[in-house]
Amino acid sequence: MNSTYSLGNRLLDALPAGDASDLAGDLSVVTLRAKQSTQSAGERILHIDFPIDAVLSVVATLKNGETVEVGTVGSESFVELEATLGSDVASRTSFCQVDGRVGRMRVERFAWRMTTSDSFAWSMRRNVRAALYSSQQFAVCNLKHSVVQRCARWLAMTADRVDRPQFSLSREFLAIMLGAKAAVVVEATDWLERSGAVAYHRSEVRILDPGRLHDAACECYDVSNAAFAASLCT
Amino acid sequence: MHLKVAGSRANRESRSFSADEDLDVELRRVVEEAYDSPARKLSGFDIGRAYWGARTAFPYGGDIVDVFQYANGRTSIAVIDISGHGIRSARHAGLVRHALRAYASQGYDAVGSIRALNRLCIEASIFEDDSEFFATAFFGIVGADRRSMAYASAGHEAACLVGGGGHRFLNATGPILGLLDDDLAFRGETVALEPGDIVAAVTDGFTEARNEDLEFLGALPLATVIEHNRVRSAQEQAQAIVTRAFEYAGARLADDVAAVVLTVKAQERTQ
Repeated sequence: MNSTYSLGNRLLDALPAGDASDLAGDLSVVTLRAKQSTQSAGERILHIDFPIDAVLSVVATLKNGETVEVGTVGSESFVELEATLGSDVASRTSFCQVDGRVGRMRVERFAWRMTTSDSFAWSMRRNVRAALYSSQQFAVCNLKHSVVQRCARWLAMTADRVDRPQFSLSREFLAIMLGAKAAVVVEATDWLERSGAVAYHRSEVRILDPGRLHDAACECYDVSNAAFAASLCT
Repeated sequence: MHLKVAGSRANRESRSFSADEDLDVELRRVVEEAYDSPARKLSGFDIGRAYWGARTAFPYGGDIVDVFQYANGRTSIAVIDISGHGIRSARHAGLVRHALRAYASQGYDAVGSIRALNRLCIEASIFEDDSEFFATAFFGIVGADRRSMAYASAGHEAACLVGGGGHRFLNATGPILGLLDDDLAFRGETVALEPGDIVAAVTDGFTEARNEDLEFLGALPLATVIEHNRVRSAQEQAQAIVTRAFEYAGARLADDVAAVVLTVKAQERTQ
């Protein structure tokens, strides 16, 4: 059931009062289930999703069919970033990774706000800059950091985004998202379990010790968080 | 053809299956029938299939191949690789195999069948509270006249068409099954067929077989094996494919290898 947006997306919640006051009329709250597609690559962008407690994945599919995540988006940002650049066609597929809610705005209303409110446009562009910076950081991460570090970073970021220590996330799915072999990811998550950072029960992961998980993660976790935190400052 | 049960590990794993003994026996029967019985002879085709199980206690996993002919004269070829191993994967493999047959029987084309199967994988994951139901699949439907094959490949990289002019890989036309609920992510392709053309497909246990230097075998040897064995029967070609993987990797072969070969015969003369 759709309802009207009040609070929950940190980017929207940090908007200046003038922009925030009439935002509710342009946003409906939509509940997404895991694996639900929100945008197909090559298709017209119809809406912009601002996650509240859902986590969305932006993925690239290679010629051999391998699908790898190129972006994870939670309440710190939004999907489709390219709408800020005037694009009306999505270049990537997006879908819901962890069940939850998004604030959904029609792309026409988003474009109208981008052209009529300097402060709204400035906030969105700063957020896109943080997303671009994070994306570049993760490109380095994929080249230089171990699967254990990347798994830890990914689990820590997802826990932050859903804002709870337990969520559904199978190791098989994690392997697909990281573009790693399932067996390697199983070894990595086993290592994290032995260290006491997390516990897996079937497809449910529980963060037992956020500090240990943070220590196991690469620097990219802090770098990305800092970039988005800076983008939310007014 | 599969590796034999061996040692204490096998005994341990056998005990873990004891609670599901009836299911285990039934699954073994179903899967053994799928691989160990001779491929059914179909008019217009020579069919071969082979399997090499890398696991010990329950030698069959989520790799399965299937060739099925429908009343309207169409023939489907499927290669499916379910994530994971063991009884659970074998159970899902059976589900996927029969679902594809059912969709094609209802008149769905190859990509329509794959899209429907993708939805089923997601729905089954939700219903069974099993979020690890992922699969890759190659699914081709050869027309009744045997002059073309429409196919869709969900994240399944290694299928190959070998003809008089050489070989051509039939690339993936969409992501793996069960990942995202998006029909538009999957598309279909059609290739022309001539008498003597060979369609061969394997699971990733073949392409990801690694030698002592940990180098992957890759997809190209699939075409090479077929081209070197063109005069042999489809069954001999299928066995040559899995043998190639085992010779390359030896004891390092860590994943099951399933192969299916379908050769298009010349049209029989009608009296």
